[in-house]
Amino acid sequence: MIAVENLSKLYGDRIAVDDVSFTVKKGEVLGFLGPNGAGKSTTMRMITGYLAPSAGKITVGGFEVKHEPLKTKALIGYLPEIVPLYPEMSVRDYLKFIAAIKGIPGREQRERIAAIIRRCWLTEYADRLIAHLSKGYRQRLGLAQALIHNPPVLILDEPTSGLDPKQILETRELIRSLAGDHTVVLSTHILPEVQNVCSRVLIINAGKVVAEDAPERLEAKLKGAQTIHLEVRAPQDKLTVLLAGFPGVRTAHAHPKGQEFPDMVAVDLDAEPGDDMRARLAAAVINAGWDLLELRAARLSLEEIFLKLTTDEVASPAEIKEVASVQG
Amino acid sequence: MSKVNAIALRELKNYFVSPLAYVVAALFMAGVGFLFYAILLSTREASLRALFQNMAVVFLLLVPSLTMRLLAEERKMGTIELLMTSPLTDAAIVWGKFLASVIYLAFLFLLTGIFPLAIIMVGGKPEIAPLLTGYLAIFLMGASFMAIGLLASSLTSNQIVAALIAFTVSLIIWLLPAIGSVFGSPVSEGFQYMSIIQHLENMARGVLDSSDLLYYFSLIGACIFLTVRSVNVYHWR
Ligand SMILES: Nc1ncnc2c1ncn2[C@@H]1O[C@H](COP(=O)(O)OP(=O)(O)O)[C@@H](O)[C@H]1O
Ligand SMILES: [Mg+2]
Repeated sequence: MIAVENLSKLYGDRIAVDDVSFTVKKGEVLGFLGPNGAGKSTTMRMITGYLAPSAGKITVGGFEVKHEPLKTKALIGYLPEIVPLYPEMSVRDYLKFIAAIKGIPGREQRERIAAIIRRCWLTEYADRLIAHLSKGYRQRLGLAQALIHNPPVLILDEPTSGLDPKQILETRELIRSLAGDHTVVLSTHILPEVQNVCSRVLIINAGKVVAEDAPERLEAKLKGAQTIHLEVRAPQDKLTVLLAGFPGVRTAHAHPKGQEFPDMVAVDLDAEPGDDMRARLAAAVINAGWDLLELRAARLSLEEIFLKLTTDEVASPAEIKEVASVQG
Repeated sequence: MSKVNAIALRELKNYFVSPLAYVVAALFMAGVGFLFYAILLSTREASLRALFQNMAVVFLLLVPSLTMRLLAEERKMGTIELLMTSPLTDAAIVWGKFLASVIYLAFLFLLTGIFPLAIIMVGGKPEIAPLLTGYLAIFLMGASFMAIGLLASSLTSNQIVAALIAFTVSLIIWLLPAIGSVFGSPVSEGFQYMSIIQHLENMARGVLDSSDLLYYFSLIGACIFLTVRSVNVYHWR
């Protein structure tokens, strides 16, 4: 339904989106996951035809955005990151205006507006001025605006931002109910969001796709990974040598504990997924004749995994390759 | 076309929910009314031509405040993203905005209609032809200022800057004969033709000349064309 090929966007000489390619099949819910500034909004703005790409090609429903923008725009419902509302209008008048510019025929408008007001939980607010709506209700109205013409493709930029927990659950439920009939692309920097609603995730960082998979598979691959925190009274160089050759250790960062603790070394190490090495590690330290002062395993939460993938200093290229099934 | 109407209708409602529209209407009425009264007193003769010229001055001062928000506000608020991702052409957005401005202008004109009526009521006998052509000219002039203001509003997301650009450009077009006179003929004649006020004076004499009409229509057309181009550039940031 959506095909993005080698898409790039430069703001001046700063690259915001860097050679991104992906496709979204009909009925899929694709999640864009990435920290702020990753290029999620910029990519969405290019798909919706708001921004022109610096390079690359986008097709929506078989039409190229560049050559037939009116056709692709008619297929898309778009919730921008900054919800585009006119504060001086009432909710109903606003939706009336949206219905007209989306090309919904006059005789159908009334019914559509009533239906979307119900669907987006705005019934009590229908005649309220937008200026008087709370953040959560503005977000809902933004969603209503995107859904009103029942478009086959939905592009939702951070659809749950600014909502309270109950509203978040309702909105996720609503998005899930759209899957199948609609092709959805949503962006978020919150992990549970993609776990809950997406059939596929694209992790974006610094304008590049760093990983792409189904959320469960991404999770499974990464959940086994663990970090171990270790404090040992030992010479740092010898400890480093021991750990570097230790089976199951991927990376180890050893550093002196600090001035109050002379000759104490603290180590954070990444272990291979599914390998509990704590007992072996403890034995090795004791055998070397050092004092083992602390040994603690920390399971990587998805948040940390996500951080690892999207923080350059931490993620090693090997890890990224392991995670990414399609993109390098 | 119905989409252009939708844009225009929203814009027009926006004119009338903001106090600005009423303030401007009131200022316009007060300004024109006072000038009109002064003319009646001083010459004891209802001189519509002077009235038209003075209306032009009032327009020059007030129109930029009316047009400054047209596109600048949409950009500031981010609603331009809504318009530009809806199945609308950039031209439809611009025409919708212009249409709303012209309708607002027509509303102001309905209000000033009472002044000529007053002349007739107090027994004045204004000539009908210059009255009509004068009104047409001043309307076209107002619409031209609106088009200049719309263009200015497309150039920045700062409304005050938009108003200043609109005022400056309008003033320059007004003063072209003075600027042109520095160069002497034939340059000065060219500048004379390009002056917005020159055509008003022609038409206020009661002569409907196609070159005057052509002038206003081309000025408006050029501004709309440039505004569409300028909106189109938003895609390329
Ligand atoms: N209009 C703009 N002009 C210049 N730089 C921009 C503009 N919009 C976004 N950027 C930059 O491009 C990068 C990507 O931004 P964005 O797509 O908004 O990221 P995200 O939505 O993932 O947070 C950021 O570094 C941001 O600062
Ligand atoms: Mg964003």
